[in-house]
Amino acid sequence: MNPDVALFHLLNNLTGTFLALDTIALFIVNDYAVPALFAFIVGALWFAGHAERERVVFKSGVLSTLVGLLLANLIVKLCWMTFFRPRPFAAEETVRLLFYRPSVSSFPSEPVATLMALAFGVYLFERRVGLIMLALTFAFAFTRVMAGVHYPSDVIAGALIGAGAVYAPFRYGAATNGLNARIIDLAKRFGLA
Amino acid sequence: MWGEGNLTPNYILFCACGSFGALQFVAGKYARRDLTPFAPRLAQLVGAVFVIFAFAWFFRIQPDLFIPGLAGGEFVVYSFVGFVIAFLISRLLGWLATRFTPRHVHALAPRKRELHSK
Repeated sequence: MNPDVALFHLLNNLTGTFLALDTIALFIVNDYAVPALFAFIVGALWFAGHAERERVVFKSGVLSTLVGLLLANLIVKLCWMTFFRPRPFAAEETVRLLFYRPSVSSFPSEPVATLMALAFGVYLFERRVGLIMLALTFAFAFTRVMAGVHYPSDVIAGALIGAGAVYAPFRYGAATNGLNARIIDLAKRFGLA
Repeated sequence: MWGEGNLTPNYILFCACGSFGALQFVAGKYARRDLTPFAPRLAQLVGAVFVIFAFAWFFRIQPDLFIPGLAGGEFVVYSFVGFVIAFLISRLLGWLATRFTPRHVHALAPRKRELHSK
């Protein structure tokens, strides 16, 4: 058997085994909990920092993370336009479904790419918070497979796209530094910084 | 625009409440008097309570979270709206606290910090 499919069945078989695990998975896997928490964190980090210089680092980090997030979503959409992979519940037999049936392509996982872009982006300028977000992203990816809506390769690809897309603006962000500074100045002028 | 039932207004309120909590926490951690009326430690506590309350309330009031609900674009827009509401409330509270705090408290605050640094 294809190792991707074998691993999928191994994780999916956990569904319905332990009530506590199902409850935790249901809390993590839905479209609201982890993405909303990440939105709260990234929004609040815009205002973080003691000294002015530190505040600029946080604001630039948030802006670069948002650029990476847009890039990640664009890459996922391009992948979907060129390639369609059916969801496990549509392609496999005996899938235990813990979630609704999404209709878009299974590969790559958009929510995982989105969360990874936010988590890895924050990790690049605020390690401790970033590590917590990365752990939550890992838990989210795990539960998406467990819930029967993604293959392991879908979430791995989503994570790689998210991390790669957000790394680019940080690594090669010299071109956007001027733009970041202008946005921060504009925000300050309107009392948003 | 509002989707099924009360999901959208509830989600906006959830985002506003959670964002307000996160803002209070950060304002407390980095001593941003312009965003919180509370003392730093209290602001962090209030922030954590608001975030936990937001999740507890939203997941209790919306039992149908596991069926298709909001789309990706709607999430972004409504999260942003919630954040703007939270930011405006934080700014207003910070402004009110600064406006109505006796002057001698402001004058003492930096001196206290200096003493700690020594």
